[in-house]
Amino acid sequence: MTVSIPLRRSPLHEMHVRAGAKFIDFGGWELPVQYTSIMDEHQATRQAAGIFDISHMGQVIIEGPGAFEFIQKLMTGDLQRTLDKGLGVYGHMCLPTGGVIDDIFVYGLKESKRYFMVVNGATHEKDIAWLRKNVTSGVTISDLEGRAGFAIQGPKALEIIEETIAGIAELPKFAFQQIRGGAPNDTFWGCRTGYTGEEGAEFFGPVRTILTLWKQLMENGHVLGLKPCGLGARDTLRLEVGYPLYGHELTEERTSLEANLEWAIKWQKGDFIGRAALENQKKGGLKEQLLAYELTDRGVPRQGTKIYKDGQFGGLTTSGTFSPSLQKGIGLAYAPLSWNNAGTILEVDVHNKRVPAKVVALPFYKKQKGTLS
Amino acid sequence: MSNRRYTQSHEWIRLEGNTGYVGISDHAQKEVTDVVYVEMAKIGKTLKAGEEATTLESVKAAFSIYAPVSGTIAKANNALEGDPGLINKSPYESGWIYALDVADSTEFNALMTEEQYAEFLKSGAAAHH
Repeated sequence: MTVSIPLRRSPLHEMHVRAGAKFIDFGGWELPVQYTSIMDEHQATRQAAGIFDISHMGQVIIEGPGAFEFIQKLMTGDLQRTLDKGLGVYGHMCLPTGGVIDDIFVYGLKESKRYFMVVNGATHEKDIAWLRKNVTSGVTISDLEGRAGFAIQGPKALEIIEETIAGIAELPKFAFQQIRGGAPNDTFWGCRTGYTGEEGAEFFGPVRTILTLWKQLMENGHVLGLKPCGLGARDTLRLEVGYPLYGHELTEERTSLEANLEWAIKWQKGDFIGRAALENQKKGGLKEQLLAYELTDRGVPRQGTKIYKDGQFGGLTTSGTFSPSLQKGIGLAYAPLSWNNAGTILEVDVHNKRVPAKVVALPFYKKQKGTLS
Repeated sequence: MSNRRYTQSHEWIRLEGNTGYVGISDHAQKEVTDVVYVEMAKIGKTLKAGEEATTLESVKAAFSIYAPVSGTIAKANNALEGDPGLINKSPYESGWIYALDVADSTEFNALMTEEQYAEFLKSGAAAHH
């Protein structure tokens, strides 16, 4: 007997079907993997702009007099930054062991003591359970329903946004606004964040508002090269700039330090769950760390691809792909700390053949500087 | 109607005399998407029908290319080394992958015709292979 769990669908699903999308199962969600081709969508985002459905991500409101301290206790990032500078804060929710429960973004409104948290789709329920387990008095957690979201990314993204939605394009990176509009009496969030290494923003709100905004942006943006993009391109884009994906680079078995994301830990902020374990690990020194490598010969590494140095096995690739921008195979892998020096020569097992590779510094892909033309 | 025959694993084969040219179907190239590397099939390798002849890599994943019929690999399409995207652009012509000396032409005749393959795709049986 097989038990099949029906896949959840984005509220934008019908629109993707009409646009000719192909779908895959992504952490229990049936989402577009591509509309035309991963390569086309990747290039559209690097050269013009792409729009990505991110409705699978969980949207949570945390509010009340104790909300600030509550969230500070649960994440490695410093929420003070959102109050002082009006910027979204990235961080990890950790177990007491330092293992990562999820990576999240939090946006806060100082006056109203309301915080908007965006969590990964595949970890959404686990995250809510963790929040509720640790909740303190004076804190209300609302797991929002009937919501959707999208990201619009690329060198033309801000120009397209500016034409369509007020008050976002001029914000600095990581800033955000809660905006009234889209549909009568609706509000939505516009955040200058993303997952591609390009300029752009992410929008979160009620389904009808998000649908209206998506359609309007497509209408205004298609002449500038805006294309709907699937998870295939989202993955190659994020990997080229070295952003971690939960379930791959980040897991409950690895810490933020091992994932080489110490910048996401704000040590000066005070206590948070997992801090003691992370301090101990930092003091004791890491045994293994995530490294980035690129193949120096033909081949494409994938999740699970084994890496070696001087014939010695080092670890497994957590994410690997063919980089459309660099036209070569790239990967991230956990390996002994001493291997993580740019230039270290590795071998990577692709279809039972050892392909030469070298350790590189992230990001794999750096944005070309503009030229005067 | 073409004189190509098809496998359930989405290869096509076309006979020129005793030589069978092999590639993947238009349906398959759309599923595979954006081919980035093709391993050149090894000339002189003898295969039974259904054995792996070579592999290709797309942005999405790696895929095995099987021998539609038994035979010995006679040629590899070297043009794919410089331009693997030929498989996407021209799956039935310049995107052929390798050719083999066909051992037994009755195996060829047992494969699906273009009409039968179209039916096979419609039946939904093609979704997994």
